[in-house]
Amino acid sequence: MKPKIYLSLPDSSIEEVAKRVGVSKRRLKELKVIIADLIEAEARRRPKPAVKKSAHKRAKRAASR
Amino acid sequence: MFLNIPYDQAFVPLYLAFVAGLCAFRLEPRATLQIPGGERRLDRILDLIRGCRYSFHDLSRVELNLKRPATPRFNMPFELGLAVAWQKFQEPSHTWCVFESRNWRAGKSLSDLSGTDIYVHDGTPAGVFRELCNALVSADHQPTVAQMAAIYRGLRRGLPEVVRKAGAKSVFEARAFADLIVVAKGLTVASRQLP
Repeated sequence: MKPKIYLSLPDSSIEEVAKRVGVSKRRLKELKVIIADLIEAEARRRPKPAVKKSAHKRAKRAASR
Repeated sequence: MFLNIPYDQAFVPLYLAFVAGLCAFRLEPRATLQIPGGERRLDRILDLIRGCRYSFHDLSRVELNLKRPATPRFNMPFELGLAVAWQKFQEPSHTWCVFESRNWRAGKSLSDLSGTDIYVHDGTPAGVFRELCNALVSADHQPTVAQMAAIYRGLRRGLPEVVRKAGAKSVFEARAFADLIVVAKGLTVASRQLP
């Protein structure tokens, strides 16, 4: 039987985590910029949801073939 | 959460995977690389274990370090032994888990662990996420593998900048480690919008 760990942990804010691990406010500000860039890069990586074309556009495309 | 892992370049992907996965579960890893110089290292390791409710020990680097004189690396199994002793003799609520990259190898390299089930991550980040999901059950929120993978990708992408801005030579330095945890926390919040 593998040991299982049952967690019930409060969700800390990034400021609280930074304080606990010893990251200064100034450094946190810089890290927030890095985080924002990384989130943006990840969002770009995700495929955009396919937009269903209208019946009119489908008919127009079929006619042009 | 005490994270006992090898500090070598080949382990960086798994190191980031552990940080990403643990932060996704709202845990904050602590590691011996945070121990400042000048103090007796063993005392600080014991303090670290004492201050953590859980400990994860990765025994996947049991090969000989070929740098002369070639030696095996005893730190990880030694720190596992300290955690086991702490749990047996002092703090029964302390929970420790062992990770390996290969099935059955821990039975050969550390047969005292026979009867203890090992989490085998196959030496891949995906394996680490899978085994963390096997080891951890969160009452409030169970992160998905996709969420952990997104945090991991972010950490990998941001790693050079984090290390550079921390003024560190390697990711295995205290300041870079602290910064990584904060970045992982920020990415965790964003990853919750994923399916």
